Amino acid sequence: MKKVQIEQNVKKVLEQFERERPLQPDPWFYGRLKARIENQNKASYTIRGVLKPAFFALLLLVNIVTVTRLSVSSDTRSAVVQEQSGLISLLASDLAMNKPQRNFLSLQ
Amino acid sequence: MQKTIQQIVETYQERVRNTCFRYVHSREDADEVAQDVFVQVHASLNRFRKDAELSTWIYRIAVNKSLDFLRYKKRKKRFAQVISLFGLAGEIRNIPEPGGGNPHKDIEAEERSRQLKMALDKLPDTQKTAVILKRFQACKNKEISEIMEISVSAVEALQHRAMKNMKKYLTAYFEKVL
Repeated sequence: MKKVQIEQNVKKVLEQFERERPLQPDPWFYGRLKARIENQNKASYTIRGVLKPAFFALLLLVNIVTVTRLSVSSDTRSAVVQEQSGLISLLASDLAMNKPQRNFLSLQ
Repeated sequence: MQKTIQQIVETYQERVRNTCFRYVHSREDADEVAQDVFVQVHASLNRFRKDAELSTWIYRIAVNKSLDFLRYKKRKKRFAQVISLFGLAGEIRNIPEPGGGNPHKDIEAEERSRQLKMALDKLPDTQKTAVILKRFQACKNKEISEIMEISVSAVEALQHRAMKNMKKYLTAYFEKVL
């Protein structure tokens, strides 16, 4: 008895597919959509008109700073290299390494 | 000649709103999702491939947007539950239960409608889509297969499994209730 009742209920619920009513038309739908699209366009114009030039200006600034820093650091590096080579030659002259050395181990 | 967005909205508005409504069960949410659909249509109309049917393409966007909306709502609900565990429940507004927008006067019919929505919600996304497009939108299986980008036989299998699952769910539900 209960099984039959359950089957009937299930059947009735599935029949509801055909009885479900569609939504009522909304006359303001296109108007709201149009306003939304226009707002989005305005926002994208702001991005294109203000943020894009600002971004490129920032990018240019970063590039200039990087190039400046690189050239300064290469100047510093060449000065250090010069200093180091001077020191090496000084040490070499102190140790007389630029003169032929006698091999103390070879007794001949 | 390419259709303008106004012509497209006028032609497909009701189909899109009703498709979204079958997923989200609320008129307000359906309108919001339908607006999202047409915003995307407007944005990518230039990229629309002419070899595909315009209605198929719009339906596909509508289905995807509706499913995205349901996932978003589920995440929001889960987040609200987590927040409520920490005693902050009052700070987040509860998501309204679907139900509004269906002008049924008959209480019994309304109850059946609610049970149908409940059973539909239990289905996996693919089965739900196959059933909604067939039963509510009266789409042919060929069209559904193009919208879902699967074969016609796969659509038939999904519909068969969906009906079987719905019957199973409803039987279990009535066993508890009766």
